[in-house]
Amino acid sequence: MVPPEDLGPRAELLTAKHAAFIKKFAENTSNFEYFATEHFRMSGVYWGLTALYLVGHLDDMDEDAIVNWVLESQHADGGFGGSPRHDSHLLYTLSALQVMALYQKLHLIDADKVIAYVASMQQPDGSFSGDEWGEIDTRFTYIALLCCALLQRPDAIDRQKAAAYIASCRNFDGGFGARPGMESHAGQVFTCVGALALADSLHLLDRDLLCWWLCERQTDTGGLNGRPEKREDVCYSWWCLSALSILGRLHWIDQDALTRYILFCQDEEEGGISDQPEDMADVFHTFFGIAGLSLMGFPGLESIDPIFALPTKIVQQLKPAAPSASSQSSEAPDV
Amino acid sequence: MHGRPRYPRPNTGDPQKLQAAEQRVQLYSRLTSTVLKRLQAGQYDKETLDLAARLLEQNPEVYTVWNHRKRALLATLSKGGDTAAEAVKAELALTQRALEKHPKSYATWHHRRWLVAQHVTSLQQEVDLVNRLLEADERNFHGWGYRQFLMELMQAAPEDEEAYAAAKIDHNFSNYSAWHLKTRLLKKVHHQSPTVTLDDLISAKSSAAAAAEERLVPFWALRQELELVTQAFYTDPGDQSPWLYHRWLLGCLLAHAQTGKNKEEIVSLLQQEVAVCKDILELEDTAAPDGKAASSIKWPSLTLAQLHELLCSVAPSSFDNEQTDVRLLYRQLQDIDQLRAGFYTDASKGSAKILVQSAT
Repeated sequence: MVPPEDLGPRAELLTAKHAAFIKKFAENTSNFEYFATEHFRMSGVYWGLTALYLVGHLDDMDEDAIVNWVLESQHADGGFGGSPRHDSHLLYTLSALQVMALYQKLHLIDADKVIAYVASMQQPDGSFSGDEWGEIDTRFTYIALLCCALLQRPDAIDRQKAAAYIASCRNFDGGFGARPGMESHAGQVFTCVGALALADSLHLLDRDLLCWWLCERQTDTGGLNGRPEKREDVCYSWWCLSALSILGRLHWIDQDALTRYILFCQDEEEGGISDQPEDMADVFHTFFGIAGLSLMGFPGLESIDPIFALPTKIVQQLKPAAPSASSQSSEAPDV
Repeated sequence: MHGRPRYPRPNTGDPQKLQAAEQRVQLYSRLTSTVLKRLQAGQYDKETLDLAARLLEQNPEVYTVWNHRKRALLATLSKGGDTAAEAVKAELALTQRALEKHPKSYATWHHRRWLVAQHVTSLQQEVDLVNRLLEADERNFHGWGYRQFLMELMQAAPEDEEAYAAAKIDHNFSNYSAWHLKTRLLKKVHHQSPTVTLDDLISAKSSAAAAAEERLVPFWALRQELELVTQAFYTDPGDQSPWLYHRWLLGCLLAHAQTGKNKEEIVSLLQQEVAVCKDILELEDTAAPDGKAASSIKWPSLTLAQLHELLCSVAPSSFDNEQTDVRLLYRQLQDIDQLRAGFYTDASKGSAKILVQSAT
C-alpha cells in the first residue's frame, strides 16, 4: 500500500505512544501473546528497551527487575535462555548481553562463562551452531562475533575461519544466505555484513553488487522487502539499512519514501508500528521501524550503531574491541 | 507478527469472547508450566510427551520442548530396531502437523532435520513432503534449505536438481528461489571436459588457468539460458527475478572474455542481448506511448547500460563511443526509477560497478 500524500496523525513519529505501547505489552501479563512469546522474551526485551532508548524513554521501565531477570536466565553452561525456564541459545545470549549493555551493567555478567559457551559453538568449518543441537546459520556467526566484541574478547573465537564461512555463503547476487547454497535474504545479509565488519573482513564481499541488490529491495510503496518479488515489511527497514549503512551506500535508496512508509505503519490509537500499514503493531516491528528511522537521522531520535545494533552512545562507552560503525568511516574505499 | 489485520481490535466489546480469550490464556499457561516443569525434572513418560506435543502443535517455536523431546528420543533410539524406527516415525508426524500450520517455524524444521540425520527414515518420503510444501509456497526458504539438505544426503545428480529448478521456473518465472538454485548448479552440470590444446602445452599454460577455464559455463549452455530469460522478459519485463539472473549470465560471459579467447562469439552474444533490450523497449513504447510503465522499461534500460559497459571492456577499440550511451542511459534511469536515483548517479560516474567487476 502506497502511503497517501497526507499521512494525517501519522505524519509525526508518535514517540510517547510507542513508548506507552511497549511498556503496556511488557506489563500486560494476562495477554495470550505474553505467554506465547515467553521462549524468546529476552529478544523481546532487547527490542523494546532499545526502541525506548532511541526515543528517550528507557527510564520508563524497572531497570533492577529487568537486570535481575536477565541474570536469572543464565544457565550453568554459560549461555542464556529466552527466559529463565528455557534452554541456553546463542540468540538469547546476545540479547541478554545487549540488554545489560543498554543498562551499562555488563560487568555483572560472568564473562568467562559466556565466552566459553559461545566459543564452544564454533564448528571445525568456522560456522556456529545456535545451541548444543547443531542448527547452523550465518545469524549465529554474527551473534558469536558480537558477543565476543561486547565482552571485549574478540580473539576468543577463530574470527578468520568465521569470516571464511560467511564468505562461503555468498551468492551470485552479492547477498548471503543462512548456509552455503541458500538463497540471499536481507535479514541474513545484515548478519553477514555485520559479521564481516566485526571480523575485519569486509573485503570478502562485493560492496557495489550487494548494495545494488539491497537498494532493489525498495518497492513503489517506499518500504523494503527481503527478497526479490516479495512484499515490503517494516523489519527490513533495519536489515537492509544497517547493511547499506555499514557499507556507506545509504544514499542508494529513497530515504524520504522509506521514512513515509515507516510512519504510515504506525498505529496512532494504540501506539506501535506494524509490518505493513493497518496490520497489528508489535514490539519487534516498533523497534525495527524506529531503528530504521534512526539510521536515516530522523530528528529527535538517538542514533543507533548498525553493527552492534545498540545506541551509538552505548557503543562508544564500550572499550573498542572491534570496529564499530562510528570508528569505521562510512566513506570507506571500495573493495 | 506478520499479516494480522489491526481491525477489528481483538477482545473488545463482546464479554463472551473476552471470557473465551481469558480461558485460552489460562489453559495455555497451565499447559506450558506443567510441560516445562515435568520435562526439566527429566520426566519423559508418555503422558508428559503427549502434553508436550499438544503444546508444540499450538506453538511450535518453543525450542526448549523440542530439545527435551530429542533427549527423550535419544534414549529410545539407543534401543535400535523397530522401536527406534517407530519413535522417529511418530516424531516426524508431529513435526509435519506443526509445519502444515506453521511452515516457517525454524525450531520445527531443525527438529525434523535432526530426526532425518538419525538415518532411520526414508529420504524419498522427505523429498515428497518438501516438494508439496514448496508447491503451497514456492518461496519458502526453509523448504528450499531443507530440500538442499536432503539432496546432499542423497548425493543427488546436479542434472536432476537443475531439472527441478527449471520446472519451477517453467511454472512461474518470477520464482527467484529457483533462479538462484540454477546459478548454483549450472557450473556443476556443465563440467566442461578439459580443452587443452597443443598450443597450450607448448606455452606451458599454468594448471590454475586451465582449471579456471574448466569452470566456465560453455557457450551453448549460456545461449540456451539467455533464450530462457528472454522468454521471461517478454512475458513481464517488470519482474526482477529473470533480470537478476541475466546479470549473472553476463558475468559468465565476462569470465569467458577474461580468458582472452572467443572474442567474436562473446561480442556477437552481447550484441544479440542489446537487440533484445532494444526490442522490449520499443514494444513497451508502442504499448503505452505516453506513459510507459516505469518498471517495464527500467530493467531493459539498465541492462542496456550494462551491456554497453561490457562491450567497451571486452572490445574497447570497437565500442569506445558507447561510453556516451552508457552515461545517457544512467541519466534516463534517474528519472525512470527515482527510488534508486542515488545509485544511478554513482553508476553514471563509474563509481558503482555491478557487472564488470563481478565475473563470478
